Amino acid sequence: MKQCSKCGLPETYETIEYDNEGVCNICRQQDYRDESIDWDKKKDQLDELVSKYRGKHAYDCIVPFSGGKDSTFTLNYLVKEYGLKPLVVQFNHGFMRPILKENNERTFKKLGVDVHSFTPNWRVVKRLMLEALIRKGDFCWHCHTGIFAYPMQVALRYQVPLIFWGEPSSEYTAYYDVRDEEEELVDETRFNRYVNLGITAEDMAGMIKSDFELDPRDLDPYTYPPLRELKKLKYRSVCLGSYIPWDVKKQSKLIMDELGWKGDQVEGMPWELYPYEKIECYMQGVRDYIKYLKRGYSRVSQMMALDLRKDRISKNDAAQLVNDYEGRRPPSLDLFLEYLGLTEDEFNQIVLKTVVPPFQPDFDKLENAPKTWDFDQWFRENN
Amino acid sequence: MGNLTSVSNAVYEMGEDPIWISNLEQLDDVTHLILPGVGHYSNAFVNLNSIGTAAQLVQILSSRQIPVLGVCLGMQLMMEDSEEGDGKGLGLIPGKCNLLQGENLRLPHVGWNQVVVQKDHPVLEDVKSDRDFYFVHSYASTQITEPWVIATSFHGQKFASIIAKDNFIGMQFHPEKSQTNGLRIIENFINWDGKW
Amino acid sequence: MVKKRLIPLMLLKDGRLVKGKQFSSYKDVGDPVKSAAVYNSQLADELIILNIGSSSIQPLLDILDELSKVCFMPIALGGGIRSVEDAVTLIRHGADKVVVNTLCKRMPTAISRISELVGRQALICAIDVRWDEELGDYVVYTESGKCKETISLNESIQTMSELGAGEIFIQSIDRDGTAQGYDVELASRVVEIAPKLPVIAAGGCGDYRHLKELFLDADVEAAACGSIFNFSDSNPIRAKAFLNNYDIKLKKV
Repeated sequence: MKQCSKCGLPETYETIEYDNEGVCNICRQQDYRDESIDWDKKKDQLDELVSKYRGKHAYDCIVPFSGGKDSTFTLNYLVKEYGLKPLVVQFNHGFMRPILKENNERTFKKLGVDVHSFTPNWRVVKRLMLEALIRKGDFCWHCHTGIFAYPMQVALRYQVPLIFWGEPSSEYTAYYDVRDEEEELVDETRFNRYVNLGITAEDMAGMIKSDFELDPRDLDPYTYPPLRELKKLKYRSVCLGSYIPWDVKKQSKLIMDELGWKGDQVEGMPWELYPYEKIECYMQGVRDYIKYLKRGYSRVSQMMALDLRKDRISKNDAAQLVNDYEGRRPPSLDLFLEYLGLTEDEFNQIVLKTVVPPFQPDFDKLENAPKTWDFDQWFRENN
Repeated sequence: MGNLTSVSNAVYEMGEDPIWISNLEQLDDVTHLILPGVGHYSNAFVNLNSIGTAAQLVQILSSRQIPVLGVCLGMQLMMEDSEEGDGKGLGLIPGKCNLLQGENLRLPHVGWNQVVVQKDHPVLEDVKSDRDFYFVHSYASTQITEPWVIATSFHGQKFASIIAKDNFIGMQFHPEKSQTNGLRIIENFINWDGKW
Repeated sequence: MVKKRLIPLMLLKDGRLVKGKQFSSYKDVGDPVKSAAVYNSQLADELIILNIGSSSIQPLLDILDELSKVCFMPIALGGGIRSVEDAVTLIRHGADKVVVNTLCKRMPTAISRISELVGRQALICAIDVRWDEELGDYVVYTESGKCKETISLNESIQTMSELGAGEIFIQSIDRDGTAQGYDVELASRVVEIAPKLPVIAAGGCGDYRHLKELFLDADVEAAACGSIFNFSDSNPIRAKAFLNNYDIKLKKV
């Protein structure tokens, strides 16, 4: 498989393109962000943006919030830097871990914010997970769509036009190339471009109703609201990371220091070194595992890529970590199979159909990843 | 004649209200004029003649200085004449159209092809050069007449893909079918005051 | 230089999009207008929408208005075009191109007429074929694969060419929905017979390697795709990034 000569990401990584020197476009985007953006000017634009909306609506802005490092940093920044009155909108994907819940409570109470939380119908979620797994080899459809569509509905309901997201996608992919100098709008185009895996709620409804008793309203939470309504509101849905430089290591440390935010053990990752990455969901292990089976790399490689770009790790150490941790079978897979009523063999067959060439998975060579401390607290259907 | 819906939708998407005119009196209310085009040169010219004589149209457009955008066949109509059919064009921008030539050339020229921008123009603001736009035609402005050429493209031979003079601008490709960049061009055109 | 095109192929049946295998066993794959909007956001080069549910163009007309509002790239519509009037009606209501298959065999003169009225560039002539082992050659089918034709593949293409087709769409029924790869030999053959016409190959695309193979081994201008964007974790943007890494250039906006 082709690989980036700088960060190591393989050609199965979505939207990756290599230039004449074998360096990938994601690396080049990072270079551009470091060298060619006038961050002072961006900060001025952010100041302008904030003052345009402050104090004029029920809330100054909406902050979609998962409790991970990025959304926690974003919320903290907006409250502390600008003294904004946000409405925090939380879409509960169904897999929140104990430390995450503690972090959230502590964050909300320390910062003093109003919080709107929504939990969708679990039975519908399970059916959606299965369909998404089969069609796309990615069971997180309900989460991707819920997280990006639901807060827009809340924005309309409360008539709050300004919505602040966290990191821009160009930190990770090239759906929006930062070198094109176009502001990344977190809108329906972006939603359709990749967030919803190319499947809208209207599409999904027809796909599952033959074997599932679907009430037409069941998929409302995952439906992007009509553009017309959002335009009437004069909405502005942007990433904080379009205005300030993004650095996950620095930012995680900041929220740990300022808010007492705690990291956590994450399945299949080196626990001491990356306690801040993707702590908000206990299906993360399965997600990473599927990615590994489909594409031949996973979260460890992604973290290595980020650190290699910032010269925080040597290529040898990175390769070693990937070798020691990546591609292990996660304990949470048992829960996942239980939720969806699948055998591991059926699961493997489904995933095999969505493998991204030129990678080929080897099901025989897989080892097991250790259980995290809270594994026994995660939801079991057959209790 | 041809596909007026797409252009209309693109204009609407930009937040403006497009109207379709069928006689010259209606031009009084118009701030910007778009001549779209799909089809055959002679048919198009005959259709144009049905809304008033060509001479009258030229007179109004030149004196009022309404920004005018010609798309594909519309661009060819704005020029002097074309090898396709036997009508004369409106002569708003100098130049003639000929059948594209080249060894083993596939015609019509259909698909996404690169537009290389040579000069700045208000309608091209923030539109990146060397990007692809959607073409579908067999005839083109192959005799590149300076200084009216804004951008060129290549299919068998080099041709002018964007030409402009005063308040007139013509594009051989279809901006309403060229997604992001195309929509940006339409937006720029709507905001253009016709001065260049 | 004209770039290669990736064209999602959408099959319309009873108001929904479907995808099948070898022209049968259709599964729901989404809402037509929403899916078109998704492809527009994903910068698809063009869309081909074929009505397979009925033998009239009404289902296409029903969605054309809404489609035109969300698609800012060319859209080609077909399936159920039974007359010159049908074709012209579709163009007038917003289609950029029409796709005709059965009509080419039933009323060849209609093809010339359509070509004259809407322009060659707006006319795609489609051919569906199955391999016949006994005959040792491809057999042409019409009526969504139900009616076997006696005219040969070569003759079909030549006739369409002469009558004024702007592009040729060649589909392998055998490969359809199998996700096993295009019939590259078939595609190459069609290109050979009609070197001056753009050829769109269809049937069998399952992953990016199939696209790579098609573009490198057959000089087609476009690849129509069904299964790949419906049953795997892929989209036109990713497909292009992959192909770009192998020097196959698609459009850059």
